Amino acid sequence: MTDLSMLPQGAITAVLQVIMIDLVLAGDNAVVIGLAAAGLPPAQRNRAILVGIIAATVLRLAFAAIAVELLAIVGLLLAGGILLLWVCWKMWRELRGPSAEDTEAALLKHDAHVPRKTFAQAAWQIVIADISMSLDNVLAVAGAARDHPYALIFGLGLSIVLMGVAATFIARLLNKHRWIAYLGLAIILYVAIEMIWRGFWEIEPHVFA
Amino acid sequence: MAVLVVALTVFVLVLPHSVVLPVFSLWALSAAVCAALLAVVPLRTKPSYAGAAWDMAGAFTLVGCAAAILGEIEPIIETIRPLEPRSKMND
Repeated sequence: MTDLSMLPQGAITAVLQVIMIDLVLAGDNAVVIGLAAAGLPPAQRNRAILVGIIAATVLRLAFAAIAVELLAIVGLLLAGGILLLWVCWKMWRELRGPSAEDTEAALLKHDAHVPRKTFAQAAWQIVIADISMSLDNVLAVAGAARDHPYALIFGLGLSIVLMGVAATFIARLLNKHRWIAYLGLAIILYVAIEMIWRGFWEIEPHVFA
Repeated sequence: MAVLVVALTVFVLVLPHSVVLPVFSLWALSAAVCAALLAVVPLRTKPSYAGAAWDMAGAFTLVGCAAAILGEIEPIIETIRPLEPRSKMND
């Protein structure tokens, strides 16, 4: 077993900070993955969650590698927020449409007019949302664990586990009680509006100077 | 629902306001894990209990994620940060 007293105090603090930041920032990824996967038939749901987690992990690694360059780009946060808003709009339209069970029933009756959410649509939504949210996550975590790469790796692992477990629980709940998906959508809408708000104040000095 | 309201009320009364939501989030996510364990551990006699436990796990997770998103990270970071100088003094 690892003796914690052997670890430098700064590293322990960094790990604690990363745990808290990841709990806060992996939450929105988990909700969006759960929302997108909930519209799929049970057989494809776990695959969609896996795609979401892999995409989020790859994106976080890629963004972490170029975190300094990303910080220098003005308007990135605003663009990410708008992208997320578009995902919200797509999810809103899907929620207003027939549920997965209704679609299954209609397909059994050979009713070709009922739209069916595909695995590709769900995966695409998850990846687009992951791009927006991973940007925010990496910049925050990289700031806390700059001098402690092990804390960064630990944080990445933790967020993968958290996203996978949380998204599975949420997808299971939303599939059974569809109205709760509106609450999930409201959470993602809040994240998108907050990103747009922060992004606007970031570009404001450059635009109105 | 009542459990969530009671827990949130206790946290509001006991904790500094800046850390209420992050702590509530941690509590809700822990409750979700407990509910999921109840669903998978074969202690139940009826399958409907497992369904209810999974629903509770999902609801606690959604509430935990929402509380985490609505809470601010900075106060937590500041709460953890003072550990460093204190331990140096002890050395």
